[in-house]
Amino acid sequence: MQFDNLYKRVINEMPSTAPAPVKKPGIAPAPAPTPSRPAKPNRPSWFPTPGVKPRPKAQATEEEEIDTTQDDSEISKHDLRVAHNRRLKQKNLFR
Amino acid sequence: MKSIVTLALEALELGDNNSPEEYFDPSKQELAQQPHEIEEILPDVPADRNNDRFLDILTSDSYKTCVGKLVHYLGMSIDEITNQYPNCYAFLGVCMGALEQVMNVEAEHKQELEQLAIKVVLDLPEFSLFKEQYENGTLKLDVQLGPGELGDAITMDDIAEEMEENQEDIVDEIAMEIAEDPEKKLKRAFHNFITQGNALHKSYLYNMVNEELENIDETLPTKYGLIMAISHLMYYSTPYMSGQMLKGIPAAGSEEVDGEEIKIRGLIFPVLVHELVKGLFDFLGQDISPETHRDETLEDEYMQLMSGPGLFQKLYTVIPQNKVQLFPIIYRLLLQRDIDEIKAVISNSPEGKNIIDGLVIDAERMYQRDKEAEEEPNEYEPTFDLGLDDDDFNLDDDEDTDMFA
Repeated sequence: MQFDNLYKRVINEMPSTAPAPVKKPGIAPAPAPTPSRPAKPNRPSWFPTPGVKPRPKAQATEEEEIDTTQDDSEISKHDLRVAHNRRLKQKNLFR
Repeated sequence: MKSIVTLALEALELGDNNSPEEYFDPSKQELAQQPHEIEEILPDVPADRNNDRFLDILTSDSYKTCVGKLVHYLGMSIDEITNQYPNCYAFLGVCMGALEQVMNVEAEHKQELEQLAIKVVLDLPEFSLFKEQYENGTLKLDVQLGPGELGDAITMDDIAEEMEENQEDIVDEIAMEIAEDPEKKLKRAFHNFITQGNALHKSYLYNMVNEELENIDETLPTKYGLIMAISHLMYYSTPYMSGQMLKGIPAAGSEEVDGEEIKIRGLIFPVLVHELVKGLFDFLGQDISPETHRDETLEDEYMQLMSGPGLFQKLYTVIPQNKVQLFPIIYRLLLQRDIDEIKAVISNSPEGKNIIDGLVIDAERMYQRDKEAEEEPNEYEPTFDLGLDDDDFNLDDDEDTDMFA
């Protein structure tokens, strides 16, 4: 029998008072899904660590906790140059 | 004694046929000549170049490429261009006229172009890994034609103002910078150059879908070329600006990463493509030295835009072309290496080639492990045993079909 016809028959012919369909023997009630462990994550292993929002142009926020107890002897030429550059830029040298 | 401008002209190889000095503003030349933190991660100048710094090579090469695009899309020789357009402002009429026409056309095809931007980027082999994650819903892209949204951007002035408000001394700021791991900061700076360079590299990607664009309007590809070539030239040819003046310039595009969602805005299609590439790489590097993100400013982008294309080109050419689809993984693995190893890779030395070969093998293994994990039965997924036999689903079973008769 065509499924369409069957569907129409079921819809048209099943009154609200129709007897409940008899269950076939052997069909056990469906158990509720009870996952004992969380679903397997689908993130690939090369994805960046989540929860870290990049702020390449973001607003400056409250100071982050940074250890400033480093020995002065570890100050590199690079650090000084970066800091120096920043100061130069803040003076709008290139305007 | 040579003036700094003369030194800049020499260092940046300006003045020859491929790099007219007319379109490289003196203030930007001066900026390009300043010491930059990125230099710590750049290799020595190769023997076949006369430059003093590798950064000069990158800036010079990037500028020449930019001028080359201008020559191509204007269809004129460099002499003809410099005669007709003696400075960058002479291009504005052409650029703005084309921009207005393009925006009028695009307004009628907004959704179509937004989808096309995603397709043209993700169809590239080097973005195929992103495509997999976009299609399975892990990566979310909010891509819309529209002006850039730089509400969260900060400038040098903002930092200075914040420091003043907080009554902080510049010395404290320097001390904090020093306390941070300089290697991490370098890697973040490197990543920013690569991200901007990659995006600029892909600004002409619209040529891959010329047929679709011509179906919308046959003049679109030509106008896109003009607009993008002139826009890129502006990175070099406009005077240095900072602070609120810089922030006040309307942005042609923007990208913002929040976890696994990327918000992309672009005024016109090729800008949307450019920002999408930038957003994907910004996403890729979001966990690189996050503690340094807070003081990245719009001013920092000048050098990234002027030299980034050259740096990206150096990196891209060392990746074996038959493994380019693994580029995002290889790139992330590279950033875990020491600064000296990254230098070796950029210089394409024998040592650098060995490092890349090793990274390719590691990337393949990593990708393969992910694939195997996807394909194996999901041990975490609950199984449902309903006690049904195959016969229970047999639609030819008369008893079933007659059940409601």
